[in-house]
Amino acid sequence: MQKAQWSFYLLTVALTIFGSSCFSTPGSAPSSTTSTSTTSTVAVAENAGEKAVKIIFKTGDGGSFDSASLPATGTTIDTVDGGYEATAVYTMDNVKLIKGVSSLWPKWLSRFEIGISGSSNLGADNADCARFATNTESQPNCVDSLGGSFQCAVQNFFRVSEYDCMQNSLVTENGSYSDGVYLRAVINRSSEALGSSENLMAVLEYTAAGIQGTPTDITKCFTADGVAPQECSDLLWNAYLWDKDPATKPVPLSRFLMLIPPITSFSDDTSKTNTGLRMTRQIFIPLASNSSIQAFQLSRITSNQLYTVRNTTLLNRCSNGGVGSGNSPLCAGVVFYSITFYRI
Amino acid sequence: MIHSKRSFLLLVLVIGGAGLFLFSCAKNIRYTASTLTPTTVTSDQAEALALTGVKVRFYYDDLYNLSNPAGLAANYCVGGVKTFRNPYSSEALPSDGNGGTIRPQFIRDVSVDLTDANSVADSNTTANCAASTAYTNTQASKCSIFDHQFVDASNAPIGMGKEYNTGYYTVLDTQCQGKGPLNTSIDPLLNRLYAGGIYFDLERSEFGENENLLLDLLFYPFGPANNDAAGVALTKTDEAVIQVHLVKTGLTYDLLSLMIQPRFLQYFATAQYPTLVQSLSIISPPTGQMRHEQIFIPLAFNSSVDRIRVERLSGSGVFLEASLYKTGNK
Repeated sequence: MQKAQWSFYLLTVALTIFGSSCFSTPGSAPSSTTSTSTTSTVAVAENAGEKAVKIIFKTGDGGSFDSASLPATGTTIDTVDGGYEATAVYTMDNVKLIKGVSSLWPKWLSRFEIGISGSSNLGADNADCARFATNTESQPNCVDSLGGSFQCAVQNFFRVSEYDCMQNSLVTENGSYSDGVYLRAVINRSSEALGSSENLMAVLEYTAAGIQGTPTDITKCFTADGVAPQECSDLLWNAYLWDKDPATKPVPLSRFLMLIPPITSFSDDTSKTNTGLRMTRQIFIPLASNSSIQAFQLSRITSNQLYTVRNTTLLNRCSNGGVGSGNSPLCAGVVFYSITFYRI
Repeated sequence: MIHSKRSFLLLVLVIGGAGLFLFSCAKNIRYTASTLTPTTVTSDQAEALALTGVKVRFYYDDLYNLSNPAGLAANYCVGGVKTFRNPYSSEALPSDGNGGTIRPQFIRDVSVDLTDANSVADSNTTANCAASTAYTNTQASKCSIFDHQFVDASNAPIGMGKEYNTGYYTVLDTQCQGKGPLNTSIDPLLNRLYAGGIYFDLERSEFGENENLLLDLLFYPFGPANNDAAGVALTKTDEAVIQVHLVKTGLTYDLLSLMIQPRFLQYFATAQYPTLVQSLSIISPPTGQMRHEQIFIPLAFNSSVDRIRVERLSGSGVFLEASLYKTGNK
């Protein structure tokens, strides 16, 4: 009896020594870096509203943006909540949820806003650069080099027309609060909104049009500083993750994902191939990998390759009505149709 | 003698506390350099070890290369990533005290195939860690290389030299003729396939039972719209097709780092390292522009998967960066 007792004691002690120092739960390694938010203690949040919602980049009926309160001179940069906010989202059953009214509004989506250009927007001061398309520019008034006409934009949808964006200046953005043209989702990481093991998937529906085709010389994409896609593409749009409180106006140190290139629609000197090809892109946002991620931003970074031909090819090709008036995102630029967020 | 339950419990508490103080589980640092011991891990190193995401850059200087190989003088090897980075800041992780950086615990190794590790140059120190040059189909080529001109101290060339000279990991279809794992075939369309690519080796014990992985890959798939380094248009056969497979290897870091180059000769279609998921993803044309693709890796379906193989099936291109993110355990 005594021998058995001692064996039990020794076994327990041995297990205690090794168990206390080597115990760890697989997958429980702490998240990285600069966590300033409260880490959720639940794996999946319950009662956090709809698990999938769509934002439609449209004003008026069927859209997520109110047309009555559009900022006349654009949104402001370097200002918390300075963008134009989406006030409605749609469920997968196409039920409209209004922010501040609908109880099923997703708690995990604190805010979604876009940057609209204008004199108040110091990052994009041309009023026709980034805004919702009018009826006029949605007509087939864009003229190509062969004299053929094509639709320049899609009425009421949010579009970015490169011809107009670069009339005043060439900018280079960095995914921060000072970007003029952007889409930004602010994410609520509290445990009531999102669990610690939950992520988001965004499905973006858009067109990306350019004029200069794929680069023949790929070495242009590399500079002494490294990879430089802006040197060999008409457009450059990047996605960023903010791992600090958006109210602190963080500046992300590197891009999360490059959205554009590739460009899917091109015009060239001999044929008009721009047909406004609509495409989708799934973007997995790995929230569970970093409890500090609190915002997702898509930014227009630069278009310096188009800038070099703004007075020649861009002027001749992407001219609405042939009079150099721009408003031609389906010639050179981006049209956004929708973005759908899924909790996964 | 322990006579009472209370005395016993007290003893357990004391010994348990001593255990906590004196020991830390060797598992937490087993991937780092042998110079690191529990008592020498800094807080920065510990933080890097615990990262649930990582970025690697396929620029020659971030990997062990012909002029900066890894290992001991008698057996220098190349192709493994030396510098791991924070995926959000792109900054290099803290040093491991052995010439490289810390690897987060969920990463066992990341490496690339190199077909010029056995280049015939007096100053090449990596030939012992590469395939024999006795056979034509294993002699050095520019099939998969760091596109950079390596030279030694006397300015003598090492390796096969540069093409576009970007410095990044480059695969060139025309240079893969007869060099792929099917190199015994006389059909040039076959013997150039499956040569070149990347290996992401994972430590599955660091993943939860229901946890998966996200792989972001920034690369440049070439196509007929692009030119070669001489300015001549590429052909249809240069159109890049990339495949992603999930494999079981069971290899430790030490064994992985010593695999001879090019590693596809060891790993291709062998029962020793079975492919558990063939073609999880096929990244195919359109080509000609830089692309940044996300590939969701469903690790949770099989706990034996410990490798993501990004394989050049055919064509040409440049691999630029990759990021890996653990997706949380539900």
